[in-house]
Amino acid sequence: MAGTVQCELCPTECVLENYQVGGCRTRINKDGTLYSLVYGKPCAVAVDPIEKKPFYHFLPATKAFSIATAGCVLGCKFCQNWQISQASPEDVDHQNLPPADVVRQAMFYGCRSITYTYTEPTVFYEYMVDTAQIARQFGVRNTMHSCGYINEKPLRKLAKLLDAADIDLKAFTEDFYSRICGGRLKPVLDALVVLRQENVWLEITNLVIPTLNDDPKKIREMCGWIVKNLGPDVPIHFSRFFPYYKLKDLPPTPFETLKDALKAAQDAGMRYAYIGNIRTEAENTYCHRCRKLLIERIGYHVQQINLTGGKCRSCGTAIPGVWS
Amino acid sequence: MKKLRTILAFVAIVSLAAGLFLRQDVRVDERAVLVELAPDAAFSEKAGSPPHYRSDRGAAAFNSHDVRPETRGYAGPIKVLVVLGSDGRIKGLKILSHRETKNYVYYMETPAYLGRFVGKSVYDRFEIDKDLDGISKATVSVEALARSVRDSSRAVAANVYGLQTASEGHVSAGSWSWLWYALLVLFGGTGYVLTRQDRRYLTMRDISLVAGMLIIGVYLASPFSVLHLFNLALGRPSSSLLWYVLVGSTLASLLVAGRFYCGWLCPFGALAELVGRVPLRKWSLPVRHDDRWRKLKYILLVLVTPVVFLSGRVDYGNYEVYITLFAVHGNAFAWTLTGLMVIANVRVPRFWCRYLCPVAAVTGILTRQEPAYVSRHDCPMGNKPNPDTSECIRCNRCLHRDAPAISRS
Amino acid sequence: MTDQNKSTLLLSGASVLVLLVLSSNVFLDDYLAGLGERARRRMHYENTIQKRGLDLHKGMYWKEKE
Repeated sequence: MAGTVQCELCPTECVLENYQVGGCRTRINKDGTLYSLVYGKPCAVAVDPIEKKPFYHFLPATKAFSIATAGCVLGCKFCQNWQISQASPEDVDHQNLPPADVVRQAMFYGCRSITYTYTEPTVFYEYMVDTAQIARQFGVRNTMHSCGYINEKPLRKLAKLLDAADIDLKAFTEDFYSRICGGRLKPVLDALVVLRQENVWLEITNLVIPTLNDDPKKIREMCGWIVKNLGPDVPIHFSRFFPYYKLKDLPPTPFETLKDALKAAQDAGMRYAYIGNIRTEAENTYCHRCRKLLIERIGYHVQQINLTGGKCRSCGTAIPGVWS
Repeated sequence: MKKLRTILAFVAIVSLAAGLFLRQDVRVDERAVLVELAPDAAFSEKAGSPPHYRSDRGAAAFNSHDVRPETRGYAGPIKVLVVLGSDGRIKGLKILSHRETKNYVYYMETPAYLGRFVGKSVYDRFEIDKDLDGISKATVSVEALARSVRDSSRAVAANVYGLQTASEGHVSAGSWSWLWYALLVLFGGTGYVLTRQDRRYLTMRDISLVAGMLIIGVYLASPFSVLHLFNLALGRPSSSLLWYVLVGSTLASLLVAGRFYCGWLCPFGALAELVGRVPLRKWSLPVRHDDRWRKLKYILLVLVTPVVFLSGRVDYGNYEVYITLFAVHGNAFAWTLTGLMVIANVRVPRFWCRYLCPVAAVTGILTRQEPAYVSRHDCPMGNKPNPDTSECIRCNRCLHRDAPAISRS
Repeated sequence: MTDQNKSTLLLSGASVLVLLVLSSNVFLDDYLAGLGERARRRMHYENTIQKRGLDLHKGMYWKEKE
């Protein structure tokens, strides 16, 4: 009788019997060995502006070659990509795209970076690591958008290959993470600290959902934690929630709530706070010293950049980020 | 027979005591949780059917797995200790054990989540995403938890507090079922007494058998079973009047009239006899062969008794075909056995009764010897001449007042 | 076959069945359910996952249990 295995990639640490697939739907135990089902089999491949990931302080106005496979470690009830993240790999169409071909295509389309995104890159860890290694060799940068629900060992290894990461800090309570997402908060906070230690450029996204995680006190607490543990330079993107997937009964986030969140971040000492998916000034980057406009954005389109050598053109302050 | 009595008594008493001793760890753990949930209350020993603790304030506490062992989550049963008030509302609960993926369900075990169950009544729906929150990635587990708490609470509320809820299993014939049973006992008993005097009343037995099959079997679905005796021995009497009438009358009749139940009331015995009357050739079996195999039912009983008493699980000892048939409840093996036991009667009338029935075994062991039952060619049990009375079901065909007394061999 | 032989056969079969019923009472929850689940998982892998062209690539970060 073939043995049981325990996966140690993400904090869920599923114990799998023979032929059993993990909670992320992408890893399987066959005859006592754990395999990935999605290596080289992305279900989403596209070229996007890097601002969409969203990265505002990393190689602005460049293109990111974005890939994802099906599956996810969590099950957030508000997931915007649930059709592929909550699907099993055998349920969606995929292409055959080995790691070398990913890099080849990225370069062919003139992308300065490859972004592992859309669903959850943790679930295609092996694919991501092999691709990232080849990308490095060819000077293509590696970035990911993840929920940060990954164990420390694999994260540290991955971080050595990553140039930037956008992590979803979905809420600041264990209650939200377990009830709404099917996970825990603490591993995400730990992952943020690890990425910081490994000098990966960090940006944080927070989807503000009315009644679930819009408590201003909690948002202030969260921003305070970020400033204290990751520093005031980490940009935060507050996004507007739209009713979707399993949370169709909630209203879209009022603009006021997002403005309050922005203020809470600034009051906590965060230098760069943005509001995503609403056309306002809060999409622009302003120098944290002299408040002059550094980068003007309309949606994902960059209108002007007022930086030289990573410094503010007006006052010369070094602006946190990766500019070349 | 005396030797058998001794063996069975020994096995029963030893395994009963051992079982109580072995299960006391579980009781200790459960008591520790009771102290957590209701620090000011004093709880009695676990007893009754379904098994539960009673508090000095009238609340009932129970392990959901004891009451509804068949409820399962993703990887196994989720055992919950529940404290239920006499108003049918949950006063407190705690998960004792489970086998689900720890990191998906750890929130399910927290007071924050379980607190939503407190105050719920047995009349509530206990439906995820309706009156209870779901937990992402733990749907199967949470649904099993809700089902487990709801069904076991409803069973306890029905049996202990008399609160009837719609989903409480099959609705029995109602509060008059005990009366139906009592009337049948009266009719059969009268027939028995009369036929002991005069063979002309023997048609009453046929009527009693058919009535037993229809009323006790089909309508009430409550034949006498060795499981009743197991529950009694484990200190878990039921709270329904029918149970008391059933068990009481059978034991009483056993004292004065031996296996009267078997010959006049048992619904499966009736079915077996009726099928046996189909005019097809019956197998002719040598006496030695028949004698040897009749011991089988005692062997099965001696085997099953310690399993039940050691584990404390009466459902482990359920192999009686009339339960499968009339309660319509059993797996593929049970139904195969039942079908076989019905058809076998065509060749050997009362096949199950002769060779396999545990009730036959128990009543046989406890019955007095009555040498006046000499047996005849038309004995429904196919007994040899001057059989041991343990095999006699008191049909009263062979007994007449002027039968000569025969000394026992 | 004599009647006695037939009877012996029937009784032996019935005894086996009783033992099966009793063991399924005790073990049904775990063993049989486990068997069914195991068969179902294997069928799903062979008929759906494999047929979809999803290969097995050795995973990182796991350990054997038991």
